[in-house]
Amino acid sequence: MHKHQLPEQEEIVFYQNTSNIAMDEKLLLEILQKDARITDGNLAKMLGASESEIRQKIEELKSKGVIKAFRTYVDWEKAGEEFITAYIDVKVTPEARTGFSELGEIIAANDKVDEVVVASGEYDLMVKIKAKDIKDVSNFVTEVLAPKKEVTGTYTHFVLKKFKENRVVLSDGAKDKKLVISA
Amino acid sequence: MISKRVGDVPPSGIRRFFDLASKEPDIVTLGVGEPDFDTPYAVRDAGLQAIELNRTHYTGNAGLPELRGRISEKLKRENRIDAPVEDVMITSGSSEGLDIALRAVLDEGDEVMMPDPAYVAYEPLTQLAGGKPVMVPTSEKNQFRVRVSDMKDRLTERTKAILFCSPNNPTGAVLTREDLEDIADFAVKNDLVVISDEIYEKLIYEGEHVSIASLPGMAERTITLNGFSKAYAATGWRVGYAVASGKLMEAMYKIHQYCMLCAPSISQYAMLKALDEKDGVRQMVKVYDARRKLLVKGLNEIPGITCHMPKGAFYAFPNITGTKLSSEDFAEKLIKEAKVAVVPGSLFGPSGEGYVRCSYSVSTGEITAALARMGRIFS
Repeated sequence: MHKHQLPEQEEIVFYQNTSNIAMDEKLLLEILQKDARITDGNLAKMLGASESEIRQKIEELKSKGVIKAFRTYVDWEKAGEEFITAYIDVKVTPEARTGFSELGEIIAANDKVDEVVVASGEYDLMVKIKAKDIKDVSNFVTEVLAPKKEVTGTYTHFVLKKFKENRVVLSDGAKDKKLVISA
Repeated sequence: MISKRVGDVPPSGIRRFFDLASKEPDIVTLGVGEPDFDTPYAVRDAGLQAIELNRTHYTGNAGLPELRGRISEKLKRENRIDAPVEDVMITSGSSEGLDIALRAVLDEGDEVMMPDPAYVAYEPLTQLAGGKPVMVPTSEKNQFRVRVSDMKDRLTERTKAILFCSPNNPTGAVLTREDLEDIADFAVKNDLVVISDEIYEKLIYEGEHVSIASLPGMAERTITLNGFSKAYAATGWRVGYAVASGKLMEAMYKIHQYCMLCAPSISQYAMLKALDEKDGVRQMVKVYDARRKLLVKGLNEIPGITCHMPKGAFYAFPNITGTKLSSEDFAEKLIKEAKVAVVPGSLFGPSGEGYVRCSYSVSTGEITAALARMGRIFS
């Protein structure tokens, strides 16, 4: 009797990537974005996963760079510290456009700097800084930014009042007063 | 000076707990009965635009034709209810719809069957309409689903209507298609009107929402009540709708045109935008679902408390009999000693005794804080 020889089956090995952990990643990120201090145990309850799966998933998201940091958002004014925030538009010389990212990285490395972005419009970089006082801001502009050969101009905006920062609403007036108990 | 009818309605039991909780400055509340999300931006913006464009006058009594049209399409698509625009009336919240539905169908002494426990307004509004509430007990062992066998025992020649809400406030119970088919058969056989409060329809985490008006023979005897408050986090806008046909709609319309004239025009224009917010609703439901699991699992870790997993709405309804406290004593102790506000289950009907209502329409931080505080009291 003729017998068909089946081709030898190749063993298919699925690489067991950690991202195969079944859970709603977007929901996990949304929960963490609102409440970074929530415990792994509570996340496990909410997402129907085990605590170790949650830990693994968070590590994975951290190493992928999806989760950048867990930080505490402090209202320094309420903590009794005086600070001044300024946004500085920076114009960069067209000849040096290739040096955009290098300049951005150099500015970002400065301790006073909260944010650095490249933006469209009249200016090229937007820098947000937190400084002690006006003099401190002025020093930053004249001693850190201005001397850079690529920088051809700056335009500084001092922040007078903040309503919302890092997704946190700062003015108490904006809070809705819901009933403590309702039917 | 006060009518006997109003005098006979007992004062709201919630009031006392509201006052108690309001006295505590550092309270964490699980007592809320409304979404903690914001009304979608597009809806709020449409409201502002309505004001700027002077859309601030009466609309037709039954509401904006465009909005009624959109709702009619929605009913067909999502609820399998074939309701032409004439069968849709915009009300000032589904609360108004409930009131006029009861007034439209009840004569003095007519009986209305309703699940126990259920939303606090069902009993008093029935009484105010001259009717007699007949409580049909539900229990945890049946996931608080109201059963026709319990209705049969309570049927009299004065029974006029059945009123229920699925998903239910305070139990989170979701009636199955079979449950609703049984109720429909019973209603048809005994010629009863059904008032179906579907305000929590979008907030279901297990199972499906079935509108009883979509079942054979039910459209002509059902008043479907719904609104924008829960699905679109829009409780303050006061927009709901009532769906019924023929004489039922005519009767409700008659009351509505005199007592309300029309629902707020600005809000009606805003809600035209709400029906486009499908993604927002889906995302909100996912967040509620995660919080539901967090709260219910956390409650089950507290000695003396057990909690079934509710399938809908945004309430957990834990059994607190293990603490040997009554619902009211438990809630009072919790406010005073743990600084956590919950609502005693007994305020929603006698079968709610031994339970409390805990809302998960609060942030995860508030849920974990409340659980930790409760854990300290009952450890």
